Amino acid sequence: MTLSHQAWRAVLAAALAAVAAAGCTSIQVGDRELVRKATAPGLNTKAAVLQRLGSPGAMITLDDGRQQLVYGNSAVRGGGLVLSELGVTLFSINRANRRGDVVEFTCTPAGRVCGVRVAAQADKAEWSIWPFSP
Amino acid sequence: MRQWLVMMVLAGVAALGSGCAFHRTVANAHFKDIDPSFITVGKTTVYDVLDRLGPPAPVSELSENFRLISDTHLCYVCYESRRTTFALGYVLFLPFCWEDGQMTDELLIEFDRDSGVVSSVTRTRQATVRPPLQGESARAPRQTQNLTPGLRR
Repeated sequence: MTLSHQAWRAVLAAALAAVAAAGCTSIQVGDRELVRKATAPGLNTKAAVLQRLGSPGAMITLDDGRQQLVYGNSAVRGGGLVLSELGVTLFSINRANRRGDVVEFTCTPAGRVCGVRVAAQADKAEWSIWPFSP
Repeated sequence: MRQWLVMMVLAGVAALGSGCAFHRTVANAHFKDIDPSFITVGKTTVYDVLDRLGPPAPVSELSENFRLISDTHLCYVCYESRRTTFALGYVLFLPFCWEDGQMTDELLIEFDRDSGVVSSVTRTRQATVRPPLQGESARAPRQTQNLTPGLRR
């Protein structure tokens, strides 16, 4: 059986598309809408924060009696491909973008929110290339 | 000819399907349905709670304990993750992986810092979804319940 030029081109395009798409990784832990919810108006009291965002990831009591409620999320997006034969890795290339948000509410002993801090970790790309190390 | 085609399609489906896997991991499942009705607000102490429920357990690392226990709170957490992987292992290995992890059940018990008695109890429930088969829109809304009014005083 012989393939026409068009068929070969289609096969080549499909192979290239498969390599270009490679594998993909998507891992989401926690609420991805955290920052939007935390910065919306109306979170003036500790009770309102708990009602909207749920239990905090951490709850810290400061020496002066104020409390900090800390919320966070994390996400990894990436992709890569591994060329292997008979269980032996010949070549591997992976890239991962890691990001996470942290929102910290500070509340007075009476339960009023007196401070909000939002820290959004920028995308941090991580490359891993085998057998070379970048 | 048609038989060959059917067999090739079946072989293709079998080859593709062999790399498909669905995982579900639940940590601290026994914390999922804790009944806090034994708590009397303003009377039950942190030691009563620890005697009854034991200490909160971390989901994966012992270092998490710092956020689950303090002098003003105990937090009992059930964590669930759903992972879908699709890994073709024929020469060119293309690992596809999607995962969603949530604290599906959190029971937050707060204590008065000075007296050490329970001041409030809150339960939060959050559902997981199975990406990529389910998107964010399929997630049920988060439920947060202040259980304090329903407890004895």
